[in-house]
Amino acid sequence: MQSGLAKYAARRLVLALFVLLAVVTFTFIVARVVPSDPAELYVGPKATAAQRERAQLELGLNRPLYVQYFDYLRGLLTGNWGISLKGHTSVLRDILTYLPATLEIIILANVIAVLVGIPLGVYSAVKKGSLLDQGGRLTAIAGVSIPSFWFALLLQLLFFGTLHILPLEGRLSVIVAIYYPVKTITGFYTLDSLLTLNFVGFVDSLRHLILPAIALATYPIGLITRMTRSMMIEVLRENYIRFARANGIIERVIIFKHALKNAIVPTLTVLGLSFAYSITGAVLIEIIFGWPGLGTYTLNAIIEADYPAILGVTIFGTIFYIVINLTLDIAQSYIDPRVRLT
Amino acid sequence: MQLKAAQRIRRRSEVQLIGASIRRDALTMAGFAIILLFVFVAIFAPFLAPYPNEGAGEPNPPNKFLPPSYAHPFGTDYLGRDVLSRVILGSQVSLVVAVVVIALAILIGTPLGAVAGYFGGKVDEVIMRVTDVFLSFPSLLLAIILLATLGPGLTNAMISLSLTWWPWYTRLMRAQALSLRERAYVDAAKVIGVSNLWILLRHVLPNAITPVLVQGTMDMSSAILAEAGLSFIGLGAQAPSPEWGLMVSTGRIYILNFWWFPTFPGLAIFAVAVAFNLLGDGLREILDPKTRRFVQQ
Amino acid sequence: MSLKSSRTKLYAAVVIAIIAIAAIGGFYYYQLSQGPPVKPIAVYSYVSDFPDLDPSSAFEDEQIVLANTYEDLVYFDPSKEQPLQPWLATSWDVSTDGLTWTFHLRTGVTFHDGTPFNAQAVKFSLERTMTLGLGGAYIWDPVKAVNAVNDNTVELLLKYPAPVPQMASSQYAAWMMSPTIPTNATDWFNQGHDAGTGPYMMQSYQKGTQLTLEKYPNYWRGWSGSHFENIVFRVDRDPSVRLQAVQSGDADFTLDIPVDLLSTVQSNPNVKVVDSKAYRNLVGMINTVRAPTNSVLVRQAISYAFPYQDVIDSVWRGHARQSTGPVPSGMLGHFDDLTQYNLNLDKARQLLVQAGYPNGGFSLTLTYTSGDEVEKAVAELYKAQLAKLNIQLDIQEMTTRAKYALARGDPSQAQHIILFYWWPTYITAYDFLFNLFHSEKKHIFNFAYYNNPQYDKLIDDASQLEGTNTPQALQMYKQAQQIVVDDAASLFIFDQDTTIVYNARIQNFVDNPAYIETIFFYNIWETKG
Repeated sequence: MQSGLAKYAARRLVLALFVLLAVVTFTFIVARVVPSDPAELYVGPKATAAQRERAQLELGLNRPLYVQYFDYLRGLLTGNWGISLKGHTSVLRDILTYLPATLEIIILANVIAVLVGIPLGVYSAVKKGSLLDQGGRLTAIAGVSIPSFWFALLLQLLFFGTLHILPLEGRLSVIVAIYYPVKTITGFYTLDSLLTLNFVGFVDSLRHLILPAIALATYPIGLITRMTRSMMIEVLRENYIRFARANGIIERVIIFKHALKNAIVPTLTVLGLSFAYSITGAVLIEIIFGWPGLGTYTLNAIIEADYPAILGVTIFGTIFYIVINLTLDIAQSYIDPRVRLT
Repeated sequence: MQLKAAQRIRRRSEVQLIGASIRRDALTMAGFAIILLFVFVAIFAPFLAPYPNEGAGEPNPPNKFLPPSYAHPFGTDYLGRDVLSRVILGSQVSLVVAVVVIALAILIGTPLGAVAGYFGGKVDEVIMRVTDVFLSFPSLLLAIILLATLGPGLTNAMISLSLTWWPWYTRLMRAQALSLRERAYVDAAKVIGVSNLWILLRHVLPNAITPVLVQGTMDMSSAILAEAGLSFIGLGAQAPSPEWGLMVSTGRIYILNFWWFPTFPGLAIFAVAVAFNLLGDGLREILDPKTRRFVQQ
Repeated sequence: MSLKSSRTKLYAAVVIAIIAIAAIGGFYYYQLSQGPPVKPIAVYSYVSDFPDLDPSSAFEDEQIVLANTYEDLVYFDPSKEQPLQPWLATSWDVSTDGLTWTFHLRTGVTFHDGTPFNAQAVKFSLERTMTLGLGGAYIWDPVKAVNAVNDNTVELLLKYPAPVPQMASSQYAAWMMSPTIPTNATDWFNQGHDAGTGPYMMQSYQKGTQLTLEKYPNYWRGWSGSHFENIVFRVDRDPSVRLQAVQSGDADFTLDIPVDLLSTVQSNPNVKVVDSKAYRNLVGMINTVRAPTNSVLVRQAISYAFPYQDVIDSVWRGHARQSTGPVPSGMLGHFDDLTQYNLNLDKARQLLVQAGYPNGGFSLTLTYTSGDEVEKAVAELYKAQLAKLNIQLDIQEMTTRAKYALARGDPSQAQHIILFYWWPTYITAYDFLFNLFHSEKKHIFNFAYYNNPQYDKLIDDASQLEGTNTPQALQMYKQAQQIVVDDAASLFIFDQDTTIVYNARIQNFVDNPAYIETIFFYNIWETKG
């Protein structure tokens, strides 16, 4: 069984690398096709002709495209992801600086989604046809239908505008940021503040994290509730469940031990989908909450046509996406060996 | 000939039974009703809107930011335009988006999937790898990059979204084609000498329609949401289009002071998205072979 | 393990968690209610982050920070009769041929790292900026060489005459930095280091979120009197957030608040709103190459069809002024008596008849920057007016890069009208007149594709005179402006005000439009309580 797993993993890895290369190439071509003037962005709009030409040389824009491409690939592997045209700073370092902020909301959002979605899906399936079930179905549908950016605005209006109990935006409030600043260790404010025993910072960062995480969690909640519910319904219908019931095994044990275990595998798939959605959904949420994460960074890069930054973020996002999917695929094949045949 | 007639009768009664099933489930019915309303409003928008010119974009500066009232049930926006009219006219944009994006995605994706599943082999491998590449991209990012190339605008946004969507239909269709490839009547047809294309068109495609239909309905909701998201960022519909996502985006900074401006268009997006999802969800439950109790195989 | 004991354990864990959370939360609120330790801190809530904090290449809005940590040789103060004031240089003179400028430097000044400020540092700073060649460095193009004559005297040798003191007062590319910075220092600067002589220095920097400055104890002006000890720059992209911050006292300064939101704080005694003439205007450059705007009559006609007052009233609610010519009001080189077009549809119709379009009947493309609500509103209002002349205006929203890319292509395929803002790098009318209307082989910003040799010569000559004979140069600039207004090469829409919203406890605040959106924190203070 182990060799089958290893073979499967190896196959998926090779495929993933191939896909990554294709994505890099595609983005590289697109970024260069976009009508823009990288030298001008780098050197500033009012530069003299001589300065522009120097910039072209420095950026290597005069070399044939394939030379630039291979240089870029080589750079990727050695950790040199280029210099952003606007800020003249290292793209990789910028990405890693902005990453933790985005991860914080994505992780919290998915945790919330799992904590809400799975129990709701389970009980909705168990009490199929009841009011609880209707509520579960509605939650699932509302979750995947709600425009997250609109919901985020409503959350702001309610919790800040009307109730005044949660902050409007940002990661820390002004007072806390000045007098109880959170030292950057991992970049996760919640973690860093706990590590430095900065409890004021901890609570404040949590208060700022809640609304964006909830807004981002709506779609995953919908997905997970729906998937868990339909999986549970199917499994509960299975013969061996009826057999167990007939034998008198307690309902709760049936649900959690037998049925849920079988529903786990497809739920992992959904979790992968939901994480993937979160990456793109984070862009919208970050705009609304002024969250200084990768989403904001990406959007600015695209608006400015800062192609090294665009390339860097795309590749990074794709790697992230591929890694998540690969992990989930391998986990699935470990639990369910039949998957290895695909 | 008798076979055909029998098939026709069976199809008709199937549809009737499906219709009955829809009616029985309250939620699905609700979804269906909302969609009917949406399509109705979209078709007759210029007549239904109380201030059609403002809806289309004509500014009315003295009326800036009026709160909801009898004259303006949804209030007015930053240029004094009646928000209700804007929302009504925006339904036209949303309907076009939903239909065009999904239709294009299906048009591109299903033939590819059918070919991949039916013929297998090298063709299948190549098509699958291409879909893999597309699916490895975080979809919004792909759409954004495509739009950065093509330039912002509603048409380009629809094209970009179709280009990110088609792989799902390819996969779907391929799975269907794979399973149908083994069916007895396909083998029989081949023995008789019917061409592959004919088989694809007459047998494979019609039988695979159901899952595509279900997926398409639910995807219409996602298409509307995705396009609204793109317009929110500024890459989709442009001013003075009454597109709902654009209105939420423009109104975003006013949420605390003039809440009606971004709230109502967003509500419209939500309602329509919910409707499509309810309908699609219901359709899936009804048409899912495992839960089908009324159609004889 | 029986179900019952595991359930008890679960309940126990939940209870403990709740107590812990309550304790931490209680501690938090107690701390905050006690009030933070009182330090004189000023907070500036700003709309964007700082892409490049390198003083040589910074060309976005970093000057709001850099003007507090660095200093120029010359300070431009438009409120004074002679705006060029001593800063790190105490006096300067020029040779008769205008090609050699000598600056006498202030003594007793040190950089934040303790290195003394002297002529070698000036030479280093200018040469580094020129070599890097990014951002605003182009202003030093006239300079051939920089010589440190002695410790306190610097000589600039020019290739051609130029207004060097104005250049040296620029908010871009003229900052003096310590020669002790590492090579390839751009990354070093952007990680939160500085090498200036200014009253404040970098304390901490979270890119994209917040930047904090602390006072430099050995600042040459000294610290007697009341001064802020720390300055915090916060990035808050959402204008309603920025406004909230000032209202609640969390922030002291902010700008870029849409006028509709401003009206909500008019009656708030804690908030002051002040309009300052910014040297910034919005132009709608008209394509002089592509039909039908290649006809000057058509251009004049559509200039008479623009709703100038509507824009000022409804878009700006009065916080702007209609432009008179291409140089913004308040700036040296602006003239109030130039011709001004006003909304006059009858006159527009007459001109259209003369031009051969008696009933309009053509369409024009207008491009503007996506995300800019003001430009969007302007475009929509203009569209409505042109429609009355039976001219269809196609509005296209584009990202800045895409907008410029289109405009820099083939003029016969480019937009008819392009909206964008302009402001000077250093204070001279030449910045507007050259960049916007001087003929260009390769299109950079002359999006009217205007090609008038008489105009070119007029402004080029004026620029060479500006350093030595300013009054004559100004007259020549005026002539040039009248030419371009008569030719209607652009819509001259509005001169913007910088509307600064600040907390009422701030005292001594006076805005200096020569340093855009910059607050010189050393000069201001606050009332207590």
